[in-house]
Amino acid sequence: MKILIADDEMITRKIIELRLKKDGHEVIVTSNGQEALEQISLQDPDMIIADIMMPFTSGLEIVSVVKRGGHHRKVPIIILSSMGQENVVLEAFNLGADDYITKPFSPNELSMRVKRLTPAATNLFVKINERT
Amino acid sequence: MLTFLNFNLSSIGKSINYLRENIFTEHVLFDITIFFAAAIIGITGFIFVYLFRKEKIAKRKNILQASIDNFIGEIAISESENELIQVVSNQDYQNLLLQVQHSKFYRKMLINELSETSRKFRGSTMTNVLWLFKKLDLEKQLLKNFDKKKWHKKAKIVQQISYLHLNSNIEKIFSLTNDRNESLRMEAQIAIVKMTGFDGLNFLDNVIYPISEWQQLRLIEELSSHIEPKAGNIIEWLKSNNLTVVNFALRLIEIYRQYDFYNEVAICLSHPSISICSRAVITISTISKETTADLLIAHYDTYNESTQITILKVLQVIGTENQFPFLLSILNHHDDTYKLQAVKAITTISKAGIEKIEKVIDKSLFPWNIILSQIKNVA
Repeated sequence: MKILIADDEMITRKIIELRLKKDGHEVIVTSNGQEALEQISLQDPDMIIADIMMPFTSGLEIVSVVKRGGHHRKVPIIILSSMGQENVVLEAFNLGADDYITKPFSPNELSMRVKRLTPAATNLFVKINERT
Repeated sequence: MLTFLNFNLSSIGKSINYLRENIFTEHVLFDITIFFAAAIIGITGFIFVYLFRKEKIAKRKNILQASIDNFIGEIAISESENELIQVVSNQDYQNLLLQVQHSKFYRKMLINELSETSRKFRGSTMTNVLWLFKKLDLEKQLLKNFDKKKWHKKAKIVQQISYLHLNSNIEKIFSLTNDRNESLRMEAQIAIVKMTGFDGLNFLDNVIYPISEWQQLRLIEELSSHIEPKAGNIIEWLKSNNLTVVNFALRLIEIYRQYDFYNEVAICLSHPSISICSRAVITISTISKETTADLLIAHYDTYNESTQITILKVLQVIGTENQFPFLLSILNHHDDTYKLQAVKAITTISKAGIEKIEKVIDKSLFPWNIILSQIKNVA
């Protein structure tokens, strides 16, 4: 799966990148929101992991742009932020984010959440729901 | 006037001629030109060399930073001790570690990155980072600047110690929680609470400097990650001469609903400081008993305007019909804010409250026509 990471902190980007590569994913790394939006239209990622506080364009703006319409609107987005306030989390979900992780976080936990949002896992979940 | 002007102009002309003939001769002007040209070339050269060196250092720093980040990244995602040892034994990283061993600058950079990583991550990543920190014996290097006089360096080390959970340094940090430098003191207080949770609040026993509102919020935020609240010396803190300590203790009782300290909070309602009384009114309302509303009414007349309004607001939550006589008496207050809060309290306590109000006021007169229509609209 092709996953795009958007985070302005170098060490955070690196650790997420290595963790996801270890899980067998292809990773696109960007350091700000503007670059992330450009890469989303160029590279068509299957999932996006974005920080909120970034230069030029915030993570919430990315969610808003991606989920507004177009062929990327079904791409799952995980928001990764040190802002744990209820109103920020709710805003992210309202805009269409699929998951929200608060920093400090565990890369293993992120890896599990990515697995949960992969198309295969989502289809399985839908099938189980249909049967029950 | 004209003669004076002519005289001045001719004297200026004479002076210029004198300078041209005796001082700024052609030879001197040539020397000056050469001097300035050399100075410009020299300064330009210096700027070039300076920028070149700066860029070289920045490039070297970026390469090193990338290399350190790769190394920490590999360490962070390792899943066993064997894997950690394999990463450290990698030849590229061995070269990096050799550089770190020989250069103070590299060591400092590695320490900074490790402490930042342990701040941003948790779980096995943090455990792995701490493993590496201990393996490379970086604690000594980190503590080297601890006894230096520059407060900002000390404050940074205090932060890093707390991020890396180097609990053997708790005593050193504890001594800084009452430091006269505000920034250093604040960082030490946060660090001690981050490392030891509620036990770290013991610094409140001795702190003589005020704890700002902002710092109180930071401490509460830090405590929120520690699950089990402990009361510590909260009774002593409520008696502290440092008013901000009393305020903070009341806040803790309020947030963690410490019902056991009801009597101590009740004593604070008669505190000489009105700001403490005001905080105590809010705190006692969160741990209230049946008698609390009457207790607040008993203190009502001794308070200032804002605390009285706070009591009226609190009665909206904890009041009963027993407080109606008091609340109805407030309807005669000359200030409309009091009237509005009393009406809100009466109507919140009982649905029949509005009828009781209408019996004692003329609802067609100002401000009752506005207040009652507001209350009815909200209802």
